[in-house]
Amino acid sequence: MSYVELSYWIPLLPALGFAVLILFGRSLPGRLAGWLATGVMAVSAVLALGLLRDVALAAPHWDLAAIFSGQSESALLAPGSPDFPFRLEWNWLAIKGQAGIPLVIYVDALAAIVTAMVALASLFIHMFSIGYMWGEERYHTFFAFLQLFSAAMLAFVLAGNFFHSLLAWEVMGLMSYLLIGFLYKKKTAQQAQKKAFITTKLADLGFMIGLFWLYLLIGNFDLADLASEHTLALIPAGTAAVIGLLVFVASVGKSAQFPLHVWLLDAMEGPTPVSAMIHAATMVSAGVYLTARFYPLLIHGHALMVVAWVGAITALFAAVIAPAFADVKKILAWSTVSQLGYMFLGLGVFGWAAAMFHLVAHAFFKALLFLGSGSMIHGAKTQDIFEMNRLKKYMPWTYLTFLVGSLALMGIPPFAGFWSKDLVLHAAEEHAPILWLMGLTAAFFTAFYTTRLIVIAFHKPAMPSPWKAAAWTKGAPWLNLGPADAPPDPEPPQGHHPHESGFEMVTALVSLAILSIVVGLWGSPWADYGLLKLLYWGDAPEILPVGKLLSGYVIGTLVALSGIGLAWYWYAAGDPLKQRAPLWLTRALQRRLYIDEFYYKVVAALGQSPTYVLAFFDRWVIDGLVDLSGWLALVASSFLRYLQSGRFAVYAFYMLLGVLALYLGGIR
Amino acid sequence: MVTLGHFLLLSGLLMAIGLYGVLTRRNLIAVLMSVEILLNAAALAFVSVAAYRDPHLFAGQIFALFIIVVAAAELSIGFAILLNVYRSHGVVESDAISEMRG
Repeated sequence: MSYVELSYWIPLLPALGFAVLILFGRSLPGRLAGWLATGVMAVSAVLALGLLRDVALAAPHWDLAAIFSGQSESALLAPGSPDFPFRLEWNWLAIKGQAGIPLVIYVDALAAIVTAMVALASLFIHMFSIGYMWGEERYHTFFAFLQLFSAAMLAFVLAGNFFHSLLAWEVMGLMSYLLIGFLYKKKTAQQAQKKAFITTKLADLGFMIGLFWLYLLIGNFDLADLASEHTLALIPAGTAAVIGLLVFVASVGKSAQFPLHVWLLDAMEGPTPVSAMIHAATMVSAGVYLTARFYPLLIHGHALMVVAWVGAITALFAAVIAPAFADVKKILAWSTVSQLGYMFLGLGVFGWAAAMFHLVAHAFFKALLFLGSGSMIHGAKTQDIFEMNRLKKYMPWTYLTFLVGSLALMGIPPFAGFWSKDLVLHAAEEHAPILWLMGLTAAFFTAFYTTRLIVIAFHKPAMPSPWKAAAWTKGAPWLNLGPADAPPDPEPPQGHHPHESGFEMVTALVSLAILSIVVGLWGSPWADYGLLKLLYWGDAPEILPVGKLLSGYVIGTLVALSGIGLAWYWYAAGDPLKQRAPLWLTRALQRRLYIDEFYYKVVAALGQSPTYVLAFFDRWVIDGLVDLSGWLALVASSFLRYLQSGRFAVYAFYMLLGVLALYLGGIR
Repeated sequence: MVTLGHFLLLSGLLMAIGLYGVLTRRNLIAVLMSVEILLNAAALAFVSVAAYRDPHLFAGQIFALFIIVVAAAELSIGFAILLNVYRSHGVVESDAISEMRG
C-alpha cells in the first residue's frame, strides 16, 4: 500500500491524539501526555516523509540547466507518473446522490513538501515542549491543543478543496487564540489573544467572500480546477484580481503582513513552543501557502504586483524595527514578519518556487531559533537579552544550534537562508529592481539585528537593561502592555547562573538544526536544486528566476556580512549600552512606528462612533419596550390579584359563571 | 302521570340545592355532602332520560354506575383532605384555608 493511500492518516492521527488527550489526558501520569503526543506526531511525520518519497518518485523531472538558459521547451526530462498529482476523493455532504462538497486530498509536490515540513517541525516542537512545559498547569491540555493545531495545519495543506482549506484555516485560528492565551491568568495574554483573533478574523472575511464569489463563478471549490485554463476562462480578469486580492487579505492577516502585522508581536505572550510552531513555522506560513494556491488566479488578474509590494514593505519595515527591541522573542517575531514578507515578495515577482523554498527553509530555522530562545529563557530566567549572562559559556548546545539558525536567517553560505532568500532576491531583481533593493536593505538589517541578539545574549555578561528606562513606561492605552517591550521579570537576575536545558529540548534543537541545514542544501546547486526541481510546474510562467545567479549570491553574502560587521563593531567590540540611537527614532521604533496607536485612535474610533447611536437606541427603545411590558404586567396583576380570594367557594362560583356563559354563548 | 319532565325537574332542583350548598356552606363536611347531591342530580338525569327515551340500551344506567364509583372515590379523597385540614388548622371551616389569597 502506497503512502498516498495512507495520506489521510497524516492529519487524522493528531486529531485522534487531540481527542484522547482532551478526554483522558488528565489521568495520564507524569510526562506521558507529552510523549504520547510526540509519538503520534512521529508516526505522522513518517507517513509524511513516505508521502514525500512517493511524490518525488512520481513527479516529472526537469532539467534546470535548460530552464536557466531559457530553453524551457526541451527541459522536461521525464514526464512523471500519470497519476500525479495524486488525488483521493470521498463523497461528503452529498444529499440523495446530488454532488455535495467532495472531501479531497490533493498531493502535489508543494503539498507533499509542506506536509513533511509541518509534520517534522511539529514533531520536534512537541518533543521540546515535553521538557519546556513540564510543571505548567494544564500540561495535557497544552499537548491536546498542539495536536489539534497540527491536525488542522496538515489538513489545510493536504486539502484539495478550498472549502476544507477554509475550515482547517479557522480551526488553526482558534487554536492560535487558545494557545496565545494558554497562560490565561496573565492579563497581557488575554489581551494578546483577543487582538490576534480579531485581527485575523477580520482578514478571514476576505477569504470567505473571495471563496464564495469564486464558487458563484465556477461552481466548485476545487483546488486543481482553479489552475486549469478552462476554468480561468470563465473568470474575467478584473474579477479574478478582486477575488485573488480578497483571498490575499486573509493571507496578509494570517501571515502578519503589513498593515495587519500588529497581532504577531503580542502573540509572543503564548508559551515559547507555541510561538515556534504557530507563530513562526507553520500557521503564519499558511497565509503564504494559500496565496501560492491562488497563484493562477492572481496571475490571471495581473494582481501579483500588490503581493510583491506588500511583501517588500513588510520585509523591510519589520527588519528595521527589530533592532529596537530587547525581548528575544519579540526580536524573533519581527524577524518572522520580515521573512514572511520575503516569501510574499518572492511570490509577487514570479519566484513561486523560490518563495516556497524559502517557506520551508524558514520554517525549520525559525522554529529552531524560537526553540533556542525558549531554551535561553528557560535557562536564564529572563526574556531580556541584556540581562542574559554569557549564555555561550553555560548553554553550549543552545548556542551552537542558535548559531546555525541565525546563520541561516542571515543568509550566510552554505546555510538554508542563503540559498532560499537569494533566489527570492534574484526573482525580484529580474522583475522589479526597486523591490530587490528593498529586499537587500532588509537583508542588511536582518544580519544586523541577529548579530546584535547573539552578541548581547550569548557573549556579553548581564547588564542592566536600557529598555526599562522611564521613557518607555507609557504603554499602548488599549493594550496596557506596560512598557512597550516589558520583560516579564521585574528583578534583573544579576547573580543567576544559567544552565543548559534538558535532554528532550536539546535533542529537538539539534534535530531542527540538522534539518534546517539539510533542507537548505537540498535546494542548493550542490544538490542540483533538488527541491526546486520538484516544485517546478512546467506550464507556470517563469516559476524559477533566470539569470545572474552567481553575482546575486555574492551581493547577498556581502550585504549580510556588512550587517554582521556593523553589529559586531557596535556591540561586540564596543559597549552595547553606549550605542544609542536618537531618542525620537528609538521611541518611534519601540512604539512600532505608531501603527498600533493609529488603529486604536483612528480606526477604532471610527468604528466606535456609530455605536453610540446604537447604544442610545438599545437603552431607550429596546430596553424601554422590555421595561414597558414588565410594567404593564405589574399594573394588570395589581388589579387581577383580587380575583384570587383563596376561598374555593368563590372559585366554584367563577366556574358556575363560566358554565353559564358557555351555555348562554351558544354551546348546547 | 309521571313524565320525564318531572324527573328532570327533580334533578334540576337537586342540582340547585347542591350548588347552593357548595357555594354557601362554610363547613367543609357540608360542602362535601352538597357535592354528593350534585352528583346524584346528574345520575338521576341520566337514568331518567335513559329509561324514557331509550329503554333497550342501558347507556344512562351505566353512566349512573360510573357516577357512583366516582362519587365514592371523590368522597374518600375529599375526606382525606379534610382530615389533613383538621390536623393542621384545627377546624374544618372553609374560611380557615384561604392562604392562597392573592
